[in-house]
Amino acid sequence: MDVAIALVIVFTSLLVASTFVTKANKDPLPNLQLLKYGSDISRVLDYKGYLDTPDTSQINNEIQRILPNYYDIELKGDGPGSCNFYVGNIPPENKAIISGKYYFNSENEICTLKYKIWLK
Amino acid sequence: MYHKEKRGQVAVLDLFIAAVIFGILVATIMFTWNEYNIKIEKHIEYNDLIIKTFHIADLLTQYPGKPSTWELPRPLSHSTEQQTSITTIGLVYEEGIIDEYKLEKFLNTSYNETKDIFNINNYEYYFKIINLDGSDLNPIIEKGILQNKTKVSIRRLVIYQNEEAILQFQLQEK
Repeated sequence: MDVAIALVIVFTSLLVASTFVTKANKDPLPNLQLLKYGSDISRVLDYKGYLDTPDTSQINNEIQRILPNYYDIELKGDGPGSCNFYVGNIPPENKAIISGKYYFNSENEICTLKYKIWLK
Repeated sequence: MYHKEKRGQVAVLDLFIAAVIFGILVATIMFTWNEYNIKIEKHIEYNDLIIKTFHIADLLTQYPGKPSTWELPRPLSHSTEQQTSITTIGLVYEEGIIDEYKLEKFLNTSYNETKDIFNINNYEYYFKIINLDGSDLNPIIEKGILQNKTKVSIRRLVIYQNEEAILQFQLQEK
């Protein structure tokens, strides 16, 4: 009986350790790639002038064009004047969401673009 | 007398079973320890590969390089009478906007020299710029070696010739 209990304890400890090591070894690459893609999209939108006077439908069309079909995104423009806009989809609750913030200049006002991006 | 001998035999049998169980446990723990050491080592190497790949992709797409006009013929250094060296390769004149002259110079620089500058002599890399839909540009813009080894590949959205394009950078173990 003592031996059985000891064995159960030892193997449970090994199993728990193994689970934690496996969890810690989760590949971080997809999330890092998402983060970079989110910031690249913000920069491209700014460079192409879509954020000068933000227009929801124009930004939406551009996003459809440049966003790979395995990603989805939510963009929120925030600030004074015409900076406020909302484009994209509502992030799901059961997936990893990567978010970031991009500062841009719109009609001489400093505005922020918050993006949330995730794998479909 | 008979009872004493039997008790002695039972004690020896217990000891034998305990020794076998102990041996199995030690072997299992050693095996697991070894397995996880290998796993952790591989994981550290893979993370290192990821960090290097992201770092180089950031340098290429967000910085003009060092010196910032590294693509131009380099002047002689006053003190050594040698050409000032390139410390960092960057391909943009503004964040995310590819400078065609820098790109041309990068493509014309020898593969090994670029590896020296990136400080990735223990790895091989592959660089390519493609259209948004994944098709090749005309002419094809690529550099480096593709291998079937552990690799990390990253895609960055850039502006090339005023159009959106994908810069793909891949780092592989030698």
